[in-house]
Amino acid sequence: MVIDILSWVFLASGAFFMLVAGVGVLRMPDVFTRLHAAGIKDTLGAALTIIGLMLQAGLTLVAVKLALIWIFLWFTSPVASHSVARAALLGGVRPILQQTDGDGLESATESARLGDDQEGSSR
Amino acid sequence: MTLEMLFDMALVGAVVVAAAYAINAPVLIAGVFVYIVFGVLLSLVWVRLGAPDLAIAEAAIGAGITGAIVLDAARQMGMERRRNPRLRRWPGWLSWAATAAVGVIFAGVFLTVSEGRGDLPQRVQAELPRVGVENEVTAVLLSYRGYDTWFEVGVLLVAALGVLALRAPGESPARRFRWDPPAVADGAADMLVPGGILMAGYLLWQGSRGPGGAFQAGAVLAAIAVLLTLLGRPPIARVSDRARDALLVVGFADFLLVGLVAVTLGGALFEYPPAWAAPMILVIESAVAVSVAVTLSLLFAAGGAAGDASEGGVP
Repeated sequence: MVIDILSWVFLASGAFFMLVAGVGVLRMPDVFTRLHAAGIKDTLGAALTIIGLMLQAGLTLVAVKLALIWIFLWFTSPVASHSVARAALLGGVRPILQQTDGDGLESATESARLGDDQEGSSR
Repeated sequence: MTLEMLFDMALVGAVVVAAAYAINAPVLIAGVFVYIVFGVLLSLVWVRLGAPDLAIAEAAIGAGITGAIVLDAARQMGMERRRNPRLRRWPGWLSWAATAAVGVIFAGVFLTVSEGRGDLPQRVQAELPRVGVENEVTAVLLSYRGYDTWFEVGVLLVAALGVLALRAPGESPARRFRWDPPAVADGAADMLVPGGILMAGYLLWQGSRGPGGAFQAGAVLAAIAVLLTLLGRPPIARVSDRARDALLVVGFADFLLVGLVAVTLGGALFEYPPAWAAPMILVIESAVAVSVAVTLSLLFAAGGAAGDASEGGVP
């Protein structure tokens, strides 16, 4: 019973971080910030979900396999994020850097819109 | 309506949307990405249909290897930024009509087959002890319909020969990417490769008991080869041409050889004697896994004109 509740807490928080990452990927202005958002899902979201599933599985072979998947993801996701970011940088994509003047929010959305426009027109 | 039905309907809807977008994407490279997503979704459909063998194969070959090949092809054709040219032209309507026709035919076939299936699953189960494996899928693939699978391995061999035929004699089919591979990915690959080989071996061995088998194991090995090719050290370039050709053929040849052994022991072709069936199937699967892996990695490594391999003036 306690394990069941714990498991659902992990699963729900995993789902929460996946949702946050999805929103982040859609809302962030450029490749690098989007990768930053996607990274949350790949590591934290996946990890919490897998822990939740392991608690459901109990002490079985399934739990061991889930642990192996977790280790695999822990190696591959950050490396994949890093490779994409590096490829983007080498491919000439520049991160959007905004000047921090008084109202940060205003200029942030402004540069975000600019970034989208640049991307759209270059296609 | 149960929760599972809701999930299934959402999944099927996502598959249809992904398929439509992959064809009609305004930018071609976006269509390629969505095609990869389509493959992943389709493997989830196989899981829901209770066919984990197909799910693994679809995820590894349909989404993974094919996705890498298509993505690579799009990149080499300079399609990253090109708009989809087929929009609003009449072949588009023709392809939609053809797709609809094929869909109707498939639906008709499915409805007839699912009605006329009868006691086939029970009969497959009943014969399993004589086949020597516990996994029905492996039994069907390698014993009940050995001919089909043998010819499938043959098709893969023909595809590999076709790729090799495009190269000048003695020219390495493996291109080398001319870039500095990221050190982080390079280091991670060193750790992933042994794990991947272990995984392939597990899938191969597991194939007689549960989901897995030659094609899945071969696809995992090929995925490792694709990773190493992207990092500038294609495994296919490390073996001599003769050894490579031998590895390409070994699955097809070994399959036939074991089938012929069955004939000399008094059965028909691919009718393995019950006492020997399990080891014979394992021998076939091991060889087929190697050939599948070498073929798939060749298909990726040999692709296109990006590397120095094709700079020698092949028209």
